[in-house]
Amino acid sequence: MGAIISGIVILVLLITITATGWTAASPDRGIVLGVSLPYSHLKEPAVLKMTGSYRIELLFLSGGFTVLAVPVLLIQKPFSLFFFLQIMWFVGYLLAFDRLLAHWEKALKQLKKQKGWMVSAPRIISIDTEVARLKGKMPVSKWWMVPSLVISCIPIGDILIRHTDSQYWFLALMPLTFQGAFWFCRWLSVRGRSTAYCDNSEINIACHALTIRLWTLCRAVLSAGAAICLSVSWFCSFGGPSEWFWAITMLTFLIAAILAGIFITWLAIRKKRNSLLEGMGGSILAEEDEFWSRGCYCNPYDPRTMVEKRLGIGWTINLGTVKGKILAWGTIGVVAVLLIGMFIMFVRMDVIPFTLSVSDDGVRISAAMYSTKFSPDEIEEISLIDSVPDGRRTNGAATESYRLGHYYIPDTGDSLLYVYSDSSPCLMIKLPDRTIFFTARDPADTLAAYEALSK
Amino acid sequence: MILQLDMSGETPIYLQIRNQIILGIGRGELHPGDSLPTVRQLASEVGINAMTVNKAYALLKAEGYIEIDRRHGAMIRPIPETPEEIDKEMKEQLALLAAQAAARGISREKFMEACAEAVESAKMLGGN
Repeated sequence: MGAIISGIVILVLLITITATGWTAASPDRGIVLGVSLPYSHLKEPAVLKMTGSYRIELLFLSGGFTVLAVPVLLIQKPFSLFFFLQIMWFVGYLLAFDRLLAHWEKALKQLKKQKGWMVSAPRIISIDTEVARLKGKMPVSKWWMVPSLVISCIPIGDILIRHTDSQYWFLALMPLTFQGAFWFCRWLSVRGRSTAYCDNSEINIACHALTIRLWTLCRAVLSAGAAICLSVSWFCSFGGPSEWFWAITMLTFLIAAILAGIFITWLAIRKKRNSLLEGMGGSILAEEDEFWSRGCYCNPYDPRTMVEKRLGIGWTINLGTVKGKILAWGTIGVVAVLLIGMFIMFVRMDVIPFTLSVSDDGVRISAAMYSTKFSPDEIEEISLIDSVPDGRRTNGAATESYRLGHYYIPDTGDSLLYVYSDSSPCLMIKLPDRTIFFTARDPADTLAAYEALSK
Repeated sequence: MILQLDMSGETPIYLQIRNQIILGIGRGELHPGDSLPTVRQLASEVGINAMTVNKAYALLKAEGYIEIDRRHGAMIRPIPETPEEIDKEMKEQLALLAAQAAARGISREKFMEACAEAVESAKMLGGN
């Protein structure tokens, strides 16, 4: 299962990076490979040769990392090694793509300088006063997103009325969390500074109206879909396995629909906007190349924290501002701490064995996590079984090698598992409030534990 | 019209905004009755404090280039039917420019050429 999920994530990353890299070589708002060029020079032979070479190298890079992904997915034991290899693959792929882009961006900037294609003095901000004046009227009304907000509150109402003892608050809050994300994206679209692409106000207005309207419409539609899917999934999650299947199917469909919707909208905007800009000829007004490098933006003279990306879809952080630095480095720091913490946790789980010891203090089961202790007087029944029945993990770890932590097993209720997949038999200990399943790495140790408890 | 602001330049931003709007009027890019963005809209676009834009608009209003209406925002003032005379301040500014040119050894012909170019770009001059 872990390999399947990892495989899907690797596939998504391969497609995303390759698609982003591929489209970076197509002019968008006069920008090619992160470098802004006058429209009249976008189809120069030297530029086309560079973008062609870049694309070939991108395909080789993605092909190479696809091949590298195979051993990464096949090595599943121990889990800490599997986790480590995944992270190394992701970091390696991102770094390699970064180097590729840096090389060709530098080459194109050198060509631009050589040919004297600078369009305006740097650090000049160009604002179209007509766009600034009319921008407020461009988005689709936010009232279209209100019904989605209301629908997203239904699971919260349900949990308050019918399932007050439920632990699944996070599931009930998920629809509202998605709505929050859509509202935030809408806010970013509407609040962001408009770019004066050229000195023709009509074209600037048309480009912005098209961009803002389509993005806000896309978000209104996706937020409605998300609200309905997630609310229905909530009700399905209280049914049996067949309902869970529909809930998971709907969630998968929702995520695919959101990604597809964003991609289609982005493509449509890009195509229409570029046809408007290329049709009018002339030069772009904004010269910001010195602040962009490999898709990253660092402009201390620009007070904005988030700006529209030059490569790919969405926004990027302005590393030149204090807020931007805190946001960027804070996020990287949190992610790094989480990954390192998780790696240490997985190493401990792989290395520290499950042990059961009986002493005057009582019975102690030790593991890297979820250690437990109880008195022999609490034991209602002990037995040896061939394998642990299937159940649902509530708080623990499940890998190809072991299952550890809290599970819910239909036959026994709340259970604690300390079970190696390839070790049999399994010791089952029934206590008043839970059932414990235990195997040692060596089956002889499991039998010894059974005999010690039987006494 | 396009406002081009140099965020790292010596000239204060409010003065750049004021100068560019006057240039826009002179070049015919802004016409009498044309609306300008509100203070908040322009401040949000540029990413500066609203007080800076307010200062620029207040200066333009005091100098008679724009009118500010609470409902409609800032608008370009109609050109007066009775042409105004070149006032003392304008004459002093012209004198300063001519003196700067003389101090740099620029010839009269070159200076007049530059003046002619500036007059040419100010499409609104001469009642056009």
